[in-house]
Amino acid sequence: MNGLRRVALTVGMVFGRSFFPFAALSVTLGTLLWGPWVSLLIAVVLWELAGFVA
Amino acid sequence: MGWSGRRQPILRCRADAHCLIFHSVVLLSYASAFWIYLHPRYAHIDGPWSMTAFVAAATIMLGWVSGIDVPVNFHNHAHNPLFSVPRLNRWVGRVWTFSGGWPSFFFEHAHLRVHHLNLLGSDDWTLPRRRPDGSFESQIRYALTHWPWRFGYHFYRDFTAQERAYEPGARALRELAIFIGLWSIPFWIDMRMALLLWVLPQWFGNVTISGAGMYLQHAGCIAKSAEHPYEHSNISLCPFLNLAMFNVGYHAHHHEYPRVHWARLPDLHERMKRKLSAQHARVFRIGYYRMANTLAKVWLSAADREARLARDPEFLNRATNVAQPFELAGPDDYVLCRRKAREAPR
Repeated sequence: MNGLRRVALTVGMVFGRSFFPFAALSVTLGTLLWGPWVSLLIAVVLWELAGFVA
Repeated sequence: MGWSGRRQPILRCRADAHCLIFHSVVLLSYASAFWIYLHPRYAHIDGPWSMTAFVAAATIMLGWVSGIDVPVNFHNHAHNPLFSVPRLNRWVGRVWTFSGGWPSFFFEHAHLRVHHLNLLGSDDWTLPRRRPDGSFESQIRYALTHWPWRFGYHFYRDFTAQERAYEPGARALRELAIFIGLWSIPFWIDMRMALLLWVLPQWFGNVTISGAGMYLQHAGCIAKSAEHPYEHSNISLCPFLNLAMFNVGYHAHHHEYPRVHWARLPDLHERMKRKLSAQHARVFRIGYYRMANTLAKVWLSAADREARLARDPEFLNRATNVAQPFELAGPDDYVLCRRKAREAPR
């Protein structure tokens, strides 16, 4: 159980510390799934959200 | 030559693996955007308008991460090199900063030799200029003029000055040549792609993220003195900001102890808490993004702005329970800076 928690914590920290680049990669590659207009919408929403939470 | 049987690990601190992951994902994001630009039909891009939407989305996201990757992430490496091998550190630096539009040596010069050594003094050309009333110029003016224009001018002056004890000119030229070699790679693939998905995001990142960050970390602050030992920087204790941006919010701590590793800054904060509280340090609950958002609203009155720039209650003045105004710098700071500059030997 402790091992599982440690792995989850490590993975969480990797995604937390690199949250912004993973978001950039998801939005960019996501264009293949949902097209450029949805990517633009997500980018603008993330930008606005950052102005409140960070 | 002795052999102890124990070798120093190449990566000096395990936490720095996060810095490398961050930069790798930034490069991967650029590569993905280039691939989509060159193969638009896989991404439902079928005309100029949908391509414009893609470029706009990519500019925001790639610029955002480039604006963090150099002035925050590489900045950690500039203070505490990641590896125990100097040559590796130099080359990692070179392939780190080119995607942010910076030669690594130039960033190190601006940050370590100019900003840290002359914090808020008249020689610190990395920070915003002051108005006649002592306050910083507007955030938008600084953001639009600092990179690459003002910085380029000062780099030229610093690297060509003959009378300086430290003459980095030849090295600057060599580093610039290496930078141009690496930075020009996307132009060899496709000129228009390079302009839209390489130059434009880097400009956006330097103007919005890097510019706002540099501005807010010291906006309203005053130079260090015996009377005001910690009011040179704005500290943000926003947990998400510090998680996702390598504890950049512990900014006064960083200027006081620049060799302390970024991962140890929260521990340092615990040790400095009492001193920071007693000396009226500028500690905010909100992060730099929210501060930028507030200061960008030029129509807000000073009182409204103060109300939105929430201080951490633990660090308010104990006797009065009141925070000092956000803008501490007054006309005297400006006059002093101008007089110093006039009296400086030419």
